[in-house]
Amino acid sequence: MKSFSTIYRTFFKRNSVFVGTIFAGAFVFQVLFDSSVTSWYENHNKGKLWKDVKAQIAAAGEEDED
Amino acid sequence: MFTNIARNASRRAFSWTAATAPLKSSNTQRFLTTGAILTGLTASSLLYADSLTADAMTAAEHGLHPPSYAWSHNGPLETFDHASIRRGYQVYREVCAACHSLDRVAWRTMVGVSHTVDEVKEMAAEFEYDDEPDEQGNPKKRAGKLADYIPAPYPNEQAARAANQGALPPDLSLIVKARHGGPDYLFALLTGYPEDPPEGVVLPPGSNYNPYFPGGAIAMARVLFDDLVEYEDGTPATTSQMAKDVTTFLQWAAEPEHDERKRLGLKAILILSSLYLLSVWVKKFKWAGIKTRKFVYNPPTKKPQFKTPTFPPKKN
Amino acid sequence: MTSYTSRLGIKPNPRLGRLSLRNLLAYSPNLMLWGGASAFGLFVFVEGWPTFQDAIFKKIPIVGSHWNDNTPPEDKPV
Repeated sequence: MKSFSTIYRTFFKRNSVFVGTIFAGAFVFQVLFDSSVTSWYENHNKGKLWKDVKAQIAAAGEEDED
Repeated sequence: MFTNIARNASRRAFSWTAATAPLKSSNTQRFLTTGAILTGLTASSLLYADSLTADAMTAAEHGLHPPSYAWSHNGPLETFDHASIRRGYQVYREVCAACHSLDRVAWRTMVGVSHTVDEVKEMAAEFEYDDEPDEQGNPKKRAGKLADYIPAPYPNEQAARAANQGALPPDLSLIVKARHGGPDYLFALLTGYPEDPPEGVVLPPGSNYNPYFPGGAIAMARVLFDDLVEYEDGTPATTSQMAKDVTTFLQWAAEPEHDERKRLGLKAILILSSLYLLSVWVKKFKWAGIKTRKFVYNPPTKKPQFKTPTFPPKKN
Repeated sequence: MTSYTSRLGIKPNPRLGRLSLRNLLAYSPNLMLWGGASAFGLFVFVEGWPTFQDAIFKKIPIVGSHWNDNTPPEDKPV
C-alpha cells in the first residue's frame, strides 16, 4: 500500500493533475454508471422489453413452423 | 409622546410574558409555532383555492371513481409491457380505428417499440396518402411510408359527427393523459358498460349508460366483446384483456418517452440523493468545531490574579 | 577558499512583454498537463456527441464498444 505522501505527490500536488483526474474520473463514472443502471433496469423489466417480446415472437414462429 | 407610550407598552408586555413563563423549551415552542403558522397558511390557501370554482356535482355528474388497477407499468422503475402494446395496436386497428383517429402518432415511432421496421412499413403501405399532383395537375395518391402519421377514419369533424349521430369520437393520441384517472379510467370505462341502465335513469336518445363517464350518458356504445379480435400470440381475447391491451397501447401513444423517462429518473435520484447525503456529511464536518465548542466562565476571585504593574518593577 | 569573479553574473533572457522564454520552458510540462486536464474536461461534456464518439471514444481499447449502437437493423425506422 503506497504511503499517503506518494498519493499526495502524484494526485494532489499539481492542480492540473488534480483537476485532470477529477474530469477523467467523471468521464469514466458517466460511462460505468449509465451502463450499470441500464443493465439493472433492463434486467428488472425482463420480459416486458421489446427485445424480449421480439425473441418470444421469433421462438413462437419457429414452433409454428415445426 | 409616542415613544413614551411605546416604552410603557413594551414594559407592560415584557412583564406580562414574564408572568406567564412558558413551560416548554424555546426550541419546542418555536417548532410548534412554526407548525401552527404553516398549517394555518396552508389551510387558508386551500380554502381560498377551493372557493374560486363552484362545481356543484352530484356523484353521477362527477362519474364513478375507477379502481386502481395493478398495471405492470405502475411504479417508478417499471417499463411498459411491449407485448401488450403490440396487442393493443391490433385492438385499436380492428376495433377503435373505425371511429377514432390517432393523429399524433407517426408510423416510425412504432418501430422498435411494438413492431419491426418491415411490419410497420407493411402496415403503413396499406393506407393511401395524398401525393404531389402529376404533370397535368391531377391529384394523386401514394402508399403510406414510415414518415407518415396514422390516418384518421374521417376526413373532417363534420364527417365524423355525421357518421356518429352528431357525436365526435375524440382523437385518442393523448386521451390517457387528458382524462382524470388515466389508464384506470379508460379500462373501467371500456369494461364498465352494464347490461341495462339503473332504474330511474333516463338517457338522452342515442346515449348509452356508463357509470364511469361523467354524467353517465356516453355516446359510445360498448364495443369490446369476448373474442372480437384474434391475437397472433394466442392470448385469449376476453373483453378485459382487450381493454387492458388497448389502454396500454394508448398510454404508450400518449407517453412514448415513458420507459426512458423512468430510466433517467432512476439515474437522477441515485446521483442527487448521494450528493445530498454527501453534502449533509460535509456540513456536519465543517460545523463540528462550532457545534462542540464549550464556553468556560471563570468567576473573578477576591484576589486579583495580576498585581498592577509598577515602574520601576518591585522586587517580590 | 572562495574565488570571486570579476564578471557580471547575468544570463540572457529574451522576453516579449511579461512572457519570457525561460519561464515558458519551466511552465511547459505543467501547461501540457493542463491541456490534458482540459481535454478530459471536454470529454465529460461531449460524451453524447456522435462526432466525438466516432473520432475518439470508440477507439478506446477495451471500453470503446460501449458507444457502439447495438440496436438490430429491424428496430431502426429507416
